[in-house]
Amino acid sequence: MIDMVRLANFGPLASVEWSSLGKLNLVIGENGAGKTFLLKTLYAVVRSLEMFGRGDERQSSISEILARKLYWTFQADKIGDLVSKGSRNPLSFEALVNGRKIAFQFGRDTSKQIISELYDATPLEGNSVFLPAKEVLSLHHIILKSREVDQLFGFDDTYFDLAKVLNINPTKGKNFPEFAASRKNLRELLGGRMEYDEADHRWTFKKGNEKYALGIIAEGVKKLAILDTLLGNRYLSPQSIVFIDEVEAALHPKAISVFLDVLALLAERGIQFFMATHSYFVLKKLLLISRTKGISIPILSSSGGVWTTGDLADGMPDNPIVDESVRLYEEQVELSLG
Amino acid sequence: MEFGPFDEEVFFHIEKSGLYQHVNSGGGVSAAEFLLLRCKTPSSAEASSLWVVEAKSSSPRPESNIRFREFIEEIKSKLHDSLCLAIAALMGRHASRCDLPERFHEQDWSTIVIKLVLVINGHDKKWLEPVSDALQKTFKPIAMIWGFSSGDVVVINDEMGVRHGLVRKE
Repeated sequence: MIDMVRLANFGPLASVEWSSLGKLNLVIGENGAGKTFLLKTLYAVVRSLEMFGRGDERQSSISEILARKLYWTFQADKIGDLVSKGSRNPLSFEALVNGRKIAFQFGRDTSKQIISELYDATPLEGNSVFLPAKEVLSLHHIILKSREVDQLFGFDDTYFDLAKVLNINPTKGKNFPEFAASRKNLRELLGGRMEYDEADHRWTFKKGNEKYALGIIAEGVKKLAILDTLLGNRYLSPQSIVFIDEVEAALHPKAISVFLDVLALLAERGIQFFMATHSYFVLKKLLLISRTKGISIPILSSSGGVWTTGDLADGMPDNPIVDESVRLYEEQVELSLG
Repeated sequence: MEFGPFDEEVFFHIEKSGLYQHVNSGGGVSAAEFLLLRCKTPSSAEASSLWVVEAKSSSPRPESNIRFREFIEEIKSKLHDSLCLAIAALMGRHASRCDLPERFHEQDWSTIVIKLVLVINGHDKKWLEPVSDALQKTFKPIAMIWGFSSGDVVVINDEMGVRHGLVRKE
């Protein structure tokens, strides 16, 4: 679990400090503020820590793994390009993960190697994942081909990593009760489940005894099915950290409520979530979850380039989403009362 | 929170009126705070709109379902009963008891714009819309019957009330 994060001069993020993180964490801000950038950065760091010491990465240092991860996540010519434009200072990152510190910094001349890093713990267990706003099932084979065969920029590591794990065989292990309950709720919402046809190398949606081609399945259904698949093949475990960009994308407000209840249930079992949103419905639902369950839900909000922190347990903080809702309502009142 | 000041000829305090005392002698008739005629220009005798205004000092949060539904029902009764009473009186149904100012009787009630306004004193602006949405939804069939827009069922706070000339500035 990420307990704290501090960044400076990192892409669009001039200065961010976010501590006392919870199992459910929310990032809001206008377009271009850096919400997705922040989530991708956290994912790249966490995934690097998870890969450290595993499989083919056994011989690599955390520094090498991290540099490679940042390169393929952000797909800049060199990782030094991640330093904020116009900043004379190096980019810096510091986080507490499971109570242990990871920190690194590098300047704009850094090509591929991060010299300065500090990590004093064993590799992370668990598998983390980034769920982008757009569902990837439709593009699954294209993502794999463009990265594995063609080695092209385009689909960054958030897409590639997800595509690789969607059709892995289920691992042996405990089926946690909260995972089973979450899958049941998801499947009720979906009305079925996604299946991967090994022979045809494609995904279909199964509803009862009927199979449907992916092309005729709704975007929101495919998106929800991805989470169901990752729970079903046991890629996700209580140690996982899940990053969700625009959690509301393609979802009806009712589906948003059910989906967030599912995430809250998974959070109770241990999964940590970081979500970015533009949605008033997401804000309101998480506020209710915070009050109903009596839990902290830290919120990081950007306005005019300045990031402020709050907690939904203390009530709805001032934020640009609600501000715009109020502004629209005032416009509506003016229209009516003149 | 104080309303006004309004000219006597365009203002009607419902609960204090003889008309209301008469129809509610047996109880069961709800009353909003007041009726107000709003003219297009100060010198114009032709009224543009009839405002039915109710005032509250607070509202329950929408998350508290039962209390919120009861609150919306209460507001709906007050505004609707007051609108119906005004129109019944103007049709001459309570001729001997009607103490509506003369100016109300001079209007063309086939074309007048109807606005129903709830003013909640001290209410945070971000909590107004859910109340407005619920009230507009409940008024939709009534708006269809009486020929006005449910969008003209409006919920504001005291600050907005000052801006629209309803609430006295402190």
